[in-house]
Amino acid sequence: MIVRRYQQPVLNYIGRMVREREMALDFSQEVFLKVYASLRSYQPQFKFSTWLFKIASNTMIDHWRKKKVPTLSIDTQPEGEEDCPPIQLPDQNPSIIRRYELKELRMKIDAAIDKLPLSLRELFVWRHVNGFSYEEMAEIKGLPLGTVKNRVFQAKELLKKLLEEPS
Amino acid sequence: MTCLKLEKLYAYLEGDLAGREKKAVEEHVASCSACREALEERRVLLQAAETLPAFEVPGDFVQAVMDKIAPAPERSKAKAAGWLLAAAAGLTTFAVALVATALITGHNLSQLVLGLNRFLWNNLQGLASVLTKGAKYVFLTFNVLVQIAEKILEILKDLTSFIGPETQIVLFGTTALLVLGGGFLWSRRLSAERNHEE
Repeated sequence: MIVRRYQQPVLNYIGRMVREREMALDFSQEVFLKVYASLRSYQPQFKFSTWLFKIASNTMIDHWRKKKVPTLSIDTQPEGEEDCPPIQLPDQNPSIIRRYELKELRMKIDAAIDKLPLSLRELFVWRHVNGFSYEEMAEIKGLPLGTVKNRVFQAKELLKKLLEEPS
Repeated sequence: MTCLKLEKLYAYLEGDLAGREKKAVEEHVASCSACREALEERRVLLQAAETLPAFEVPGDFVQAVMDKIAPAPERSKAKAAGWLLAAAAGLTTFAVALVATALITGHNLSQLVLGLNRFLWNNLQGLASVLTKGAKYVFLTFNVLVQIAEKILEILKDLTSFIGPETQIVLFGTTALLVLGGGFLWSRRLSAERNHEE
């Protein structure tokens, strides 16, 4: 059954996009209703989860548009982004990340995800919370593979930077 | 010694490197403390991100979605509940009537139930006898019809022995035309009547 199978990954994604539990549940329900309503338009040559998450992503885009979020839009390219990621070298200063206990670090990451720009947040959650491959993400968003990889890389480095900021 | 790009470190952590590339990263990290530290930081970061607690899905989530997708089953449930209620009401009325009869007539309730059982049993026997008779008549009628059909076939056989094959074809063709024509005219008449009624 579709709902039973995908309820957890959809809620994990939407929950980390909107943060509020009740709102996340409402949006997740909306996603499944849309999926049901558009089942006839599903083409079996595509992976079902990819199609479902495309609907989920569009639901989030609609939400942010209605909310007129002043931050970077979820479906636009971040400023200065290029298909080839910039050359980055490791910091010479030791990070404070390794000083945290795993439980504490998880809490800090959960809070820091909320500060990521929407376009980066969505891809980071898909990659490292939902466990999608870069190819699947590129298909969902209709973006080049290189762009997706670059955005996920930016998300991780930004997240690391946010974690190192004094709270 | 040139330090590794961060993308390379992530690719290594995410299992995207193999063979020579993977070995090169491992060899470099073994001899470069900055890259080793950078790799470990990112390993911890990814490990924590990938083990974030899942959002708890309420137990009634599936039902809530299904209720919105197909409210019809709710109606059928209500209908079934209505039938059950009606059956329960019928049984209750019957039990009340039984007790009331026992009280009014002064009969013992168990005697009354036994009497009712006997009445139902007798009627059931009567019904069984009627059904048996009915089946017998149907069987007899079928036998008679089979015998009539056999007689007709015999007559036709006798007749065809007197008539030549050409005459048989003409007769058969004429009969078929008459039947088809009659059927066609009959259906035209029926449809005309229906149109007139509308």
